[in-house]
Amino acid sequence: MSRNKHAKKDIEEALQYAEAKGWRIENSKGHPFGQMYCPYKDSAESCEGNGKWCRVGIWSTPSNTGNHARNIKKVVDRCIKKQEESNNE
Amino acid sequence: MNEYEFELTFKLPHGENPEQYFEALEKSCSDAMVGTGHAGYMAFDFSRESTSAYDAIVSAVKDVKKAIPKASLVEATPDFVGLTDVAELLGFTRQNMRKLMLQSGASFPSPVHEGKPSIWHLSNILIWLKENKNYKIEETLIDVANTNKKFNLMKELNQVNDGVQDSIRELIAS
Repeated sequence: MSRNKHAKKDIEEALQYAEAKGWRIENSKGHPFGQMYCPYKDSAESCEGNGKWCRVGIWSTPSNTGNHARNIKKVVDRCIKKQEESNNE
Repeated sequence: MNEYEFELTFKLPHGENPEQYFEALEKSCSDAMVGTGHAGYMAFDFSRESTSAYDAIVSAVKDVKKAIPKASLVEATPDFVGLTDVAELLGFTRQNMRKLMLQSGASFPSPVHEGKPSIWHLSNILIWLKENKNYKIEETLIDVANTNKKFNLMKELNQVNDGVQDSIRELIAS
């Protein structure tokens, strides 16, 4: 793992959850923590909104830590759901 | 104060890398999740504390534009929905939602697009469910859907600026 650990415990936990599902996390320069990339790069076309949630920004100091952590998990879960649906078709 | 949840999608100036705006966005929009997976666009999933949906959404649009002055609003969500979306939002089954529509005939709100799938404004359906079927719908959701509709319609209305507004308005008046 080559990324920095997130200073907020809830968010670090959500990031590890995402990594366990195959998401890649990269740190960015400056204050924001980084970006998180979906593992299914080629499927963006079949994702909601042309894949807008296949790559998301992670803040270092979000205004509400709990919300940010929850949203990270939401993005991951929403994506897996889509994957399962297309596998079942 | 309530917490309002809504999503705003913006278009970026051609060829720009969204990451260059992260620094500024974390200052003004750290109550939003930012999606950059669709090249040329940025999506913001806001959970914003405010006294009304209108104040929440107006300030959110201003905050995005403060960080990205040339961004233009594409859509405020939730607003345009199919029956499946409404069912999902309210925890109904799709079959139930469809039955409700078919049984209600012309009293059900008119869609903005009749097709496969048909599309409605969410607020029209929510208000109809509340007023005609006595469903308990969260007020903040109705407030958000109604405000989003105004933003989306105003944006489209900007395209009608060639002097035919009045005669068309007369034709479609109900």
